Amino acid sequence: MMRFVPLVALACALAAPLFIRSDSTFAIVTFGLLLASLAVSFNLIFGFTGQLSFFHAASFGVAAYITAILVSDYRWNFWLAIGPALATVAMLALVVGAICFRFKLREFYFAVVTMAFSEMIRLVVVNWNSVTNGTLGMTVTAQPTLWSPSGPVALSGARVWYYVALAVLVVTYVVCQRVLASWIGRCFAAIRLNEQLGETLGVNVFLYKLLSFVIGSVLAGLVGCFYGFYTGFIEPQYLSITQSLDIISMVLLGGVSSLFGPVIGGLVLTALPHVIDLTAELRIILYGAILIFVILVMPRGIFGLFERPHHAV
Amino acid sequence: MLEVAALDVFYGKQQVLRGLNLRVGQGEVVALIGPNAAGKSTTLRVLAGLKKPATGNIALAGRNIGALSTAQRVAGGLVLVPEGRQIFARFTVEDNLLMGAYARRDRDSSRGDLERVFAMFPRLRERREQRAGSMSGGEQQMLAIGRGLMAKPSLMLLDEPTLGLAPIIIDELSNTIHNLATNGITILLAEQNAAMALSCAHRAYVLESGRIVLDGEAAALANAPEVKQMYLGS
Ligand SMILES: Nc1ncnc2c1ncn2[C@@H]1O[C@H](COP(=O)(O)OP(=O)(O)OP(=O)(O)O)[C@@H](O)[C@H]1O
Ligand SMILES: [Mg+2]
Repeated sequence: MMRFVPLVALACALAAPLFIRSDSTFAIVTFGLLLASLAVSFNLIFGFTGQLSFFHAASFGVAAYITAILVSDYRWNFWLAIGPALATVAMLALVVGAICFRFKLREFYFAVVTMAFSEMIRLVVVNWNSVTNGTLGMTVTAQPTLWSPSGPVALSGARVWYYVALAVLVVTYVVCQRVLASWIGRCFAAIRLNEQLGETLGVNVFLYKLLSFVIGSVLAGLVGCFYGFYTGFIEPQYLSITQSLDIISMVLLGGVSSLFGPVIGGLVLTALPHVIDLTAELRIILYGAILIFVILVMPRGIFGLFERPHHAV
Repeated sequence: MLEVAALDVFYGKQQVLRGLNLRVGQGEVVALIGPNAAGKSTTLRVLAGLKKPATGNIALAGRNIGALSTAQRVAGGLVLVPEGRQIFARFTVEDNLLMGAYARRDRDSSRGDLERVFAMFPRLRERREQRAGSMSGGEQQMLAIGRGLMAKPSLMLLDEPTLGLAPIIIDELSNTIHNLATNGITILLAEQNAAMALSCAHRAYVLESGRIVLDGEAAALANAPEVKQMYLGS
């Protein structure tokens, strides 16, 4: 039963533009889809492999900056710029992951050290004025184009971006699903549930943790590549701890034990502030209250309510 | 089949194994008995490649395996069933078993080997869809051994399988070990329960503070006064 939920959801999402009228609704949903992709990729590392990474915002932000800089300042083609952006994220994740996992950092220690690396990278972005424009951030005016039989189509307009965001989510989701459905996924689960036993059975714990961390981070980078061009603006805030915390909130809200839970979490948390018509301060309080409530009352998240209680992987 | 020579092992500065020599012949059941903290688990962990020895030699079937990873040793037929009934509590019984085949080169065809395990442990078949953590202690120990079987071992290292189990389950476990042996699997059994271990084994070693202090035929050791007094409580 539950296996069809993502497919039904995809069908609904493909048809949704027929019913959405306002550009502001499109914008909320598009943001929701992009952030949901971040949440899904984060959950590969957190929910499925058991490692609480605070590096996700850094991966997302670094890729956003690199694509934007290559396209705006060096006149690269957007699609080509994705390559170096993701390669850089992969390298960073490889280094940070290798250090953390070689020193066997777990739980709290892993979280704090990844947070420190993430902050280091944010500070580089803030202080490297000549390239990143520092705290002011950069406006991104270039529009990526997409090849089509009837000539190039610019990625602009609410409807087009909605489908782009949906495509990013589908790619992220399918990559995670393919990984989890293989022996790699079993090894991730083994590490999450009983690392020592995994080692006894021959699982190379270091390697699989690193693999999970790198795949998840690169997927976050993929979202970053598109995000800056959608908002038309990039700032160091993208790499902040707050950004990482937002992603964690989405995953906790949606449910850590499935791939689909974070999709719900991402959409709900993005839409929530717009649905609640309150001043900014009150809104944040209510937002926090809902989050606390959900975590206390539904530890398995919204999607967890519908799941069968046990799951192999 | 297994030859261990002059093994020295340290945790930090503390020496845990001192010049350990050990031999397990093809098809034998050998017991390794000794009190708490003697170094039994450490010995098995070193054999499985989970802990590096400072010095010493480990040969399996005449081949030096000291430099091999745990995965390579499992693939080569040397499998540890660790202390304390380690299982993946949230996996189903079946997924736990399949995970045992992970290090095999032909792991994708391991599903067929489930039958062999179920033939030996019919109760696991009944519970194959059940969460492993919800089973009784005895069943979990059977699952841990069954998972070891999924790796198609030629040598199985069992670390205190009787720990915390009722006498009737311990009897069942003795039968299991006989069964494994008749199926051609060589066994090294680390136990504090000397009575059980000596009744199962052909030969035994007595380990105290990281040193082998006695060894010989299991039946002879069971009658040796030192063993009787120290380990059999009579
Ligand atoms: N990971 C570790 N770090 C430090 N010291 C350890 C570690 N594991 C074991 N030791 C020490 O090594 C010694 C031998 O331990 P080991 O677990 O091998 O004993 P054992 O014979 O299996 O005991 P038991 O019957 O209680 O399981 C003990 O003094 C123990 O404190
Ligand atoms: Mg022990």
